[in-house]
Amino acid sequence: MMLYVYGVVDSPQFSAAVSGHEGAIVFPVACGDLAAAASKLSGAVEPEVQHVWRHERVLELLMQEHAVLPLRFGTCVSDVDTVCGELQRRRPALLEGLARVRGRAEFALRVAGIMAGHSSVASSDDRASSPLPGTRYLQAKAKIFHERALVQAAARRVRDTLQPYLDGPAVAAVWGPGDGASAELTASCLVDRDNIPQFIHAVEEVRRNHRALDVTCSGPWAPYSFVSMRAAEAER
Amino acid sequence: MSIAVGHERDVAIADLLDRALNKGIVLCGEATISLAGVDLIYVGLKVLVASYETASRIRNKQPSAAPLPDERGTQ
Repeated sequence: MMLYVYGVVDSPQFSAAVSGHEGAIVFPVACGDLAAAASKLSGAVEPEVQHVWRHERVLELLMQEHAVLPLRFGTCVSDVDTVCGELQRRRPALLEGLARVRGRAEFALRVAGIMAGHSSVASSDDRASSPLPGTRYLQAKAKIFHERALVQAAARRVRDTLQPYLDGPAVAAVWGPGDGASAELTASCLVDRDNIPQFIHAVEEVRRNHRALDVTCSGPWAPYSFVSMRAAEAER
Repeated sequence: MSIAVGHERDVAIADLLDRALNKGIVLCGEATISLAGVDLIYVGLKVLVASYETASRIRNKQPSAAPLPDERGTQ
């Protein structure tokens, strides 16, 4: 028998009964004024979509009454003492994280089409292709680097365009790496629950004003992207 | 339950997997390994996310990174 841990909660007691994996009751493993939300588990939880949804669902139910820091899916420990030890060891950082996410939820933004209107460099590279294999190799490599640089520049432009829309309704935003490996820009936005309508309105405004961009938004999620110190540094 | 504000359920699933499998607190790495094994989670993540990104790339007609010839210049 193991303990599956869903998240860290700012209360040693839960006000509502919540079912976790295998239908087991989620209970608090209290450590002072903090608790880990856990349930008993008979075996492994495979990383399948319905199990990940269950993990998220437990967190969302807890978030209705408490501030919650989500743990990564699949976190399982052998006993209560291990959980308490971790809570005590990380207590200052956990308290800081809970204060950051209290009353807030995360939204996901994906922006595709950031290269709309930009032509590929393929034609110029084709003209420069060489019969020598070594030269061809270097040309192909240079083409990939060049295209990635174009995507990176486009991602920066789109980010600069979107940031003003998010500045009002979002408390913080963490942007994806924008390393050019994908022509898609991602962001995680931390939004006060009271400001969710304004945030959705801002996303719709982006869609109206920038029709070349394919913007999708999902949420509210547990604040997975705002549990680390790096996320705190991104906060305005 | 979370809502998909703009688009279809697939996007919401991709966003959820990106977060729940990739982010969040890692309480203690050793304990996570004891559940399903890092390799298993890693493989699951790669399969699910890669399929979404591939679909996205096709949809956007993004200039694909052509496979590099090997060091001898052959494909």
